[in-house]
Amino acid sequence: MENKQDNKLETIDDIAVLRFLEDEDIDLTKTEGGFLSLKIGEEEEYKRIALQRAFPLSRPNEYITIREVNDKRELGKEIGIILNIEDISPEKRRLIEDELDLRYHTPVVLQVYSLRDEYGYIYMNVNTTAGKKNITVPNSSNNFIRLSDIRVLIIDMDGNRFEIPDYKTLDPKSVRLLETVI
Amino acid sequence: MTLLFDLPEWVEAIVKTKYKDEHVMFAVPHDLNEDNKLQEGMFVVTEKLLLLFADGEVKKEYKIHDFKEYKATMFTSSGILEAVNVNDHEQYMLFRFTMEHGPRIATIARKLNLYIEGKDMDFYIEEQDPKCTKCNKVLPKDSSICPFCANKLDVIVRLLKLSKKYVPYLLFGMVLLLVITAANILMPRFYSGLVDNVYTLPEENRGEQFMLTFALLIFGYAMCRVIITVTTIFRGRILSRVSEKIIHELRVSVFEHIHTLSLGYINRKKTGDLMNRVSSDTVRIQQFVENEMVEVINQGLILTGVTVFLFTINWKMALIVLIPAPFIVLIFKSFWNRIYLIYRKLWELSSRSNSVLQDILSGIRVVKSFGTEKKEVARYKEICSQYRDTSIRNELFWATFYPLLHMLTFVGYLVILLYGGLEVVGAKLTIGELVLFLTYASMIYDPIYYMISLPRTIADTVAAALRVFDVLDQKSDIADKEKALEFAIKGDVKFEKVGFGYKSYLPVLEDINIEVESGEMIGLVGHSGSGKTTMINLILRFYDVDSGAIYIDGVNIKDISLNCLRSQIGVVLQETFLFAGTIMQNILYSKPNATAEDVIKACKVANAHDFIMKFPDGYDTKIGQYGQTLSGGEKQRIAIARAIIHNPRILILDEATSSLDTETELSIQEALRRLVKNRTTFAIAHRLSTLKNANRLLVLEHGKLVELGTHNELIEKKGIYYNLVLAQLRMTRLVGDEEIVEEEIIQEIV
Repeated sequence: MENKQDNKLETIDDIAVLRFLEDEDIDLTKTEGGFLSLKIGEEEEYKRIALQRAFPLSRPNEYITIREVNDKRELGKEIGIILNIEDISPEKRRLIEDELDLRYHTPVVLQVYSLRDEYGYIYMNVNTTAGKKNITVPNSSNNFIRLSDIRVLIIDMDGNRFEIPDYKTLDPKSVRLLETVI
Repeated sequence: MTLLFDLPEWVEAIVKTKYKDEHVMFAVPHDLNEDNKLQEGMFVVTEKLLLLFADGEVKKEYKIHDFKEYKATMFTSSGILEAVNVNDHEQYMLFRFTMEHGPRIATIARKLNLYIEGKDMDFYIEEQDPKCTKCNKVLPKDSSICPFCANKLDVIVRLLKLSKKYVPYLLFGMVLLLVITAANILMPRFYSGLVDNVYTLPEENRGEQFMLTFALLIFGYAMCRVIITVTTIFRGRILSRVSEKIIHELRVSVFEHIHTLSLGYINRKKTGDLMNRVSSDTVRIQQFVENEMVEVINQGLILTGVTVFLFTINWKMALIVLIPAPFIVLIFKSFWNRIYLIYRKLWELSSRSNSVLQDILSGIRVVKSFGTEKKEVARYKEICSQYRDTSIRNELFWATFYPLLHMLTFVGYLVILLYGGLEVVGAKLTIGELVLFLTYASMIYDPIYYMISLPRTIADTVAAALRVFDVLDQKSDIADKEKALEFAIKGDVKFEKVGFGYKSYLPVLEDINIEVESGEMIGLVGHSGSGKTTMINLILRFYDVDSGAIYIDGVNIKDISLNCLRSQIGVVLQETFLFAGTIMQNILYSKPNATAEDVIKACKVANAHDFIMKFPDGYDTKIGQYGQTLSGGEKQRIAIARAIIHNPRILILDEATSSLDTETELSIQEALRRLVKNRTTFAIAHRLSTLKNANRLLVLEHGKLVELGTHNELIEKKGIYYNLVLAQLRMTRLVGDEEIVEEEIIQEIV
């Protein structure tokens, strides 16, 4: 019987341990300077933390990792993972979502007013959830990314991201203009 | 990079009233507010204040000196400017920005840090703006001149100036072209003359001169063709020779000029981009000089000539011919964007399907080992069907578009036949004139099509020319001073308060101070990215320092001639680059006048002689793409021989032996040990044991010198170096127990 213990086949579950943090574990507050700080129980305290999505495109609300921001203001070690922010109580959830919005600023495109191509760059005038904007996008599939049949991610020349969850639901003109590039 | 944008009127008004004593140092758009909404605000830095303007008012006002350690932190698609408050040491998020102005704000952050310390805010390398600050269009890759804002005529005049000594030829070519065009326009006249005066002339009207007229008209008609043929051949031969010469000179001068530029400039460009400038941009210019420039005039002449003739024959009919022209222009213009986009998309899809194919085929072992063949076939099928659909759409478009366009021109033709026929019947027009008319009418559309595509052709050429001029206009930022010193280097090296960064907002080295005596070996230690290679780049003066200075034998390296400096430094890099050629030629690269004996000696020192002798062709063995394949270690040893053959006073070993197996490394180390003795050496090595002979070790962390001393001193200090050694020992001894290893080290060292 003792031998059996030794011969146990270890799976990745045994080897890698993820620390999931539940709603009641975490105590989040906003600092004077506008950052998030975290307390876990009485012992653990982090002056400033950063939140990262493990699957920003496919599961934006799940597997949110919490990282410490060290004294050099760089990302430090991973503190834990929130499995799903929908399980977090409203007040903390708002803080988490604010932080994620800041880190993953991705306005949703509501309408395309104009689109023209000049020498490999697409100049677009769009309305987004964050307001109207003129954007310039290199005309390539690395910048007009089809995440699915209907979902499109646009990355402009500076690295700003814009999303269209379902481009077919936009007005006919926007659809027609978009279809020339996606 | 522009850091001082023009202030919008409303911001300027506020600054002028509320902050009239303040001088504006920086001003960039502040485009993202606290609620993550886009806005048209302004971030303004004066000598004392940071001001945020939005919605017609001052939103925030910070005192610069209330904060320290300014930092722009970039996230996905946005960023923040943060700083540490000097009073409560709390970190503050000052404001948010989108990536459009991210690099600018990061640069300002770095400048602010220098500013609060009272230092000079200029850097050696400044980034270029990706967009033209005037018209907001994207600048051509790595070019600072906007092809949209540049005066196109200026560019073309400059192109002509380049070909100054060939201008007579070009002019002569143009005269020949005039002749060709004239003959082209004249030819139909003979033909119509034949119709009217010979073919349709009733027998009773034929006079004495009839046969002579006939013969003269036929002769004239034939002569036109002969003139056209002869002149075309002549012109083609002159122009192709001239344009090849122009382009050869341009290409060589571009390439020559690239070599005078600093690595800073060259590194900013991608190799492919520079290659394009030398090869394809110059070809574009050649095409323009050889064809377009002349063709524009040609087509213009035909267009005006033919139009004038049409109107002189019959102005009503001329108008009819010209009626479809504006429609054609309009149709073409409106479809142009669409046509272009479809073509681009096709190109994009085909390159994507190619890369999918390459991906799958080169990973075929993985595909087979996971048994995912079907999945991969489906992936390829998917992209192919996308290509098929787009291609069908494209073909359908052309299949409809062209016949319709021809129909449109045909309508004009038909109307002429109808109207002209009536005129002929009414004897107001001869048959010859009608034929002439129809011929001219068919000649008029080609120039029109040509003119429609002309703006794009000119813009393409101007862009190509600007890219080439951009290189030619670049002054080397690293060049010899007027009275650059040349002397035999002894080997003392001194870094005095050296600071440097490849990107203006990202310092790589900060405040480095060290004095190295001639003959000393310095080991550079630190994590990757800590600035070790950068230090070496600065010693070689591939870049100039941002602040401070580097001295060799007490002389600032900026005062030493580049040739003198670099020819007395021997460099072995981790990635060895050998040129195509023989082993001998490669080793002679650094000292062309070395004797065969020198070469063999250098190779003996580098432990390369024995393996070279194993090749049937010995030192004459060809290497490179089409020659003998060498292993990493063999290449490395040839590179070492190349670096030492000229007996450099300063030796730089940047991970020189790291790609070798332990045994080879040991044998080279042995050789190097004798070479390094009494020679100033800077060595970077990942394997710390390689550095055991170093007189002193210099430990870098995040661009700062954190530890300096002998191996023993640093071990005793139990700092960063100690931990690195510990980690490596643990790796090599395959032990995980910290205490055992620590004990061992202490035993070993003390």
